[in-house]
Amino acid sequence: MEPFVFRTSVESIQLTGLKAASLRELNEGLEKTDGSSVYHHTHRFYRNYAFLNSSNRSDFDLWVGDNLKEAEVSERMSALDLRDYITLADLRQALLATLEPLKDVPGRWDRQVPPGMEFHFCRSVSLVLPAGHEAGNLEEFIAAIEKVDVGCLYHHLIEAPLHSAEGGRSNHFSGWLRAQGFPKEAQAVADIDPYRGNLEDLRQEVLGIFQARQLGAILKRAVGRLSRETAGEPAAQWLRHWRQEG
Amino acid sequence: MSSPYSAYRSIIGKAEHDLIARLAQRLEGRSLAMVNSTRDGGGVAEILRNMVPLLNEIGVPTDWEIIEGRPDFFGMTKTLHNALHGRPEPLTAAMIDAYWEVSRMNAGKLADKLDKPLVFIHDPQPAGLLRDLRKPGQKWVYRCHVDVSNPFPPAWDFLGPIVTNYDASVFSHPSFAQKMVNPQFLIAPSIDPLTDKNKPIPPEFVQKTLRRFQLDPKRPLLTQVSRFDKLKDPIGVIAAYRLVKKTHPRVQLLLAGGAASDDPESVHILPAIQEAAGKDPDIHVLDLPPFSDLEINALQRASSVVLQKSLKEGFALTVTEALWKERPVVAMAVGGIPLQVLDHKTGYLVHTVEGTATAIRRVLDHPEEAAVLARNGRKHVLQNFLITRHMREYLSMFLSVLHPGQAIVRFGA
Repeated sequence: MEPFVFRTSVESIQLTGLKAASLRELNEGLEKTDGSSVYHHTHRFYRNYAFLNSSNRSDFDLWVGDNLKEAEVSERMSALDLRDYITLADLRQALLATLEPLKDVPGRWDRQVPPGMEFHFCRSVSLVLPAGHEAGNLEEFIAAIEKVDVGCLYHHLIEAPLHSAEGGRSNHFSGWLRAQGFPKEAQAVADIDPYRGNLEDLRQEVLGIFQARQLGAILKRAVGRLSRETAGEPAAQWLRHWRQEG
Repeated sequence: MSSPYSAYRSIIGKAEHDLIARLAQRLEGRSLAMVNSTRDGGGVAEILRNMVPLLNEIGVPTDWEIIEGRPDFFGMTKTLHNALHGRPEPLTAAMIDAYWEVSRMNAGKLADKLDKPLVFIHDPQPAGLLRDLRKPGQKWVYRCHVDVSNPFPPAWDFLGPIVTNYDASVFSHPSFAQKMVNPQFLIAPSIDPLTDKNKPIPPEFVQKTLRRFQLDPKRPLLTQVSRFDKLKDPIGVIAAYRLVKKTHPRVQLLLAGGAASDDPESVHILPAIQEAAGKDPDIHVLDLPPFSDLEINALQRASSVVLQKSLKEGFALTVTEALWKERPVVAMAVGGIPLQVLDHKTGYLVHTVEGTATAIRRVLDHPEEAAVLARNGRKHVLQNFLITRHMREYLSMFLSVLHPGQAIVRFGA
């Protein structure tokens, strides 16, 4: 079985040269800009603003709300559940759909922010490198999850699925766990909402899935030691019974 | 003396600490030359002083070179700086001649030192070196520390064609940039949490410093730390203080600054500040000599409110310093300040003298609310504006420049 090689990613942010001063220009920019730009503006909060514990805030909804003062569109944008969009193309379409109701309202569609308050479309370049940990079995996998940098969790649970051919429905952790014969745990990891808290919360949530299994392993080792030490009854009887039940 | 890289582990955590070191390995020993125009004064020199030893320690051989100039050259680059900020200050033919003459002279002196795979030029003063020194295979990156989005056109007509020839440029904020054909990266500057200016210091030293500068430790202190410059609006700070004084008569104002060796204008502004202060015994204007970092640290920590009333800004590292020290910050929404002061989350953003006074009163009247914002401010700096994050982003930027056109760059084991 292939070991799981933990990878992490860091980002380099570039300007695209596109900018918007109105909803019309935001709409045009969203249609033109590349996927890594849609990704950048909808995801950077999870990496850079964890301390605010803000949920589902993107640069788009902040700019529309704070600078353009279009509260309705801002609310619709911030209510988008990123898990609903398998690819960045889907997410782009969902963002464009939030703008749709104002297309026929000329006063609002073309109203411009003052100079200096424009929206600047940026993009992220991801640099993916080994995180310095590998796992050949479940114990090593759990131990590595405890140690890796949060960028590693971000890469495997958020970034890589979005950039993969299958889109956001599968993540690396679940794939490996399933291949290792842990389908329940694989599903539990797949069911995590990675956007709900900050990345340290995400680490705890993944570890929580394995907590019961870890306790079981500790108990098994303790009982095994006890049975060797007492050389038989009644601990051995209890152990046989517990193994049968397990 | 800078701290060893390992000293940052307890601040940023082992995982981030090790990640940056692994990222440095991906440059595979390529050496780097940083070039600017001064070793003391201003945020650029401060960042380089701390970052260059750290880059060397994590395996990126880095040298820091300084260009030499003459008064007419630095006069020209100051005019250029102001004009890039939008002030209608023309560049004469004589000024441009002086720029290129000094640039050629420096190119002669630095030719061997800049014969490295990576050359990183900071701000306009050394930008012209590219014309004489670039060699095939090298990557030259231009770091623009000022807002050039709305320049006096002749200034960009001069600098733009120079910068366009670089392999990439780096800006601190998207709104600072000009449209160019080469890749433009966004990287915020940073502070070093372990230097004299930012490290924890004993409360006794803070008290001693206040006494030394005749400040009353029992009364609220409003502080702006900035080099003396019209664009920092020290006169506006005094006007805001006078509005606050009407309702909070116990406040004291401290304007602490100094001059930079590449800024000939700063010597003229000090008398104007002193004149505006008049004979008010509660206005303290301190012209601090270079290397007063411990004193600045103490004064920031002692402040009830830290102000940054700038009319234009690059990034405003003095704001970063205050946030790191968990001080309430009231700052103008210009330049890089809104990246740091998230309004009502990490401080208060203002737009006028009157708004500045109102926000100061709010901090003085609601200290619990101000404390929450200040705590958020420190977390914000920890996550986004420390020197280690800055190093990580410089390393990422160079790796991107070495792999042009790729949205995802994958490295093997």
